[in-house]
Amino acid sequence: MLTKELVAASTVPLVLSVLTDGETYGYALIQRIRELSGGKIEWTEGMLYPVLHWMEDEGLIESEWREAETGRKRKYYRLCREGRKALREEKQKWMTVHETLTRLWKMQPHLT
Amino acid sequence: MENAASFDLNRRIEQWRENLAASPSFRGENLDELASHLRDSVATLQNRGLSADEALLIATRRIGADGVLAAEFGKVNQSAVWLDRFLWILIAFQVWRIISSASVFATVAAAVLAMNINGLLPGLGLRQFSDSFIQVTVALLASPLTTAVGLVIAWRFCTRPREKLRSIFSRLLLRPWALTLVLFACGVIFGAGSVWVLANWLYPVLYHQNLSYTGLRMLLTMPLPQFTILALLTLFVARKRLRTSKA
Repeated sequence: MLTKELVAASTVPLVLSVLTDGETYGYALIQRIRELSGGKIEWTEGMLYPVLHWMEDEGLIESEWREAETGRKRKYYRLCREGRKALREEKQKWMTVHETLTRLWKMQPHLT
Repeated sequence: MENAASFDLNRRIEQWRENLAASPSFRGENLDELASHLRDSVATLQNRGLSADEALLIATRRIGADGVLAAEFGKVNQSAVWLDRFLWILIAFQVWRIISSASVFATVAAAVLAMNINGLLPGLGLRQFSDSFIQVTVALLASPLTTAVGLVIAWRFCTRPREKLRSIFSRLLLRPWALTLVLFACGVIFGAGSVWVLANWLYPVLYHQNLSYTGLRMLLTMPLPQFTILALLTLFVARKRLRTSKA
């Protein structure tokens, strides 16, 4: 289980990354993350929506209500140009953390 | 069988939605989206062999507790939350004025009654109190007492409302014009009433002469411009609040 802080920090890059595969709706997005993380990233599902709305206000993504095959309406989200830019920045930040940690952990055996 | 089960599920999802709708944090569209999510989640769980009941239980748990959701959505919909608070302040202020007018009414009635009884005392061979003593005593007792009673009634209405009153009130909240008119009318009627009893009951007893307060003069002694501004503000905020929550 991830800590609350880590979940909060990683939600935006995760959403942006899922949306690079094309538009999707909230429920499917959560399923995708759960599947990819092997069930290790568990969100309080409802909490995703305020984040999506905030990202929409920031111009990172846009949304549209559309009828699904089942006849029920769903709200679909897709990436905007600003979102792609934000994702590139996020990628850099997370890679920096990732690379640093990887290097540190590789050194550890030699230290002990 | 299938129909009966799905009907029940729809009703339960509607109920869940209504519970959330009680909070100002959600816009109508937010609730549509959450309900759509809940249906997807229930459908997936049912496909795995869970009953509608079990599926709904787990799905609502996964989506998050009402309070947690309201807090998170409230952060995004802050303007709606503040509009709601502001409307409640306006309503509370006007209700407070109505209560204090009613308190003036009750205090005057009590004072006049006490002075009339006092006037009868010498006839019964008892000593009469001075008028000022009666007035001070009644004002000290009746005014806080009636205000407290009014506040207790208002408090009870907020904490443990009767079903009927509650539904009338929630319908009023959806009709800004009706809400404004009711508050304005009650304010004017109670305000005018309190001026009327002061002029026609208390004044003659105190000064032994009649103040011929006609209806028009009575209205002019009230802070009508203030009432009007309050009413316009209430109307504006109530309408804006409705528009924001529906957006």
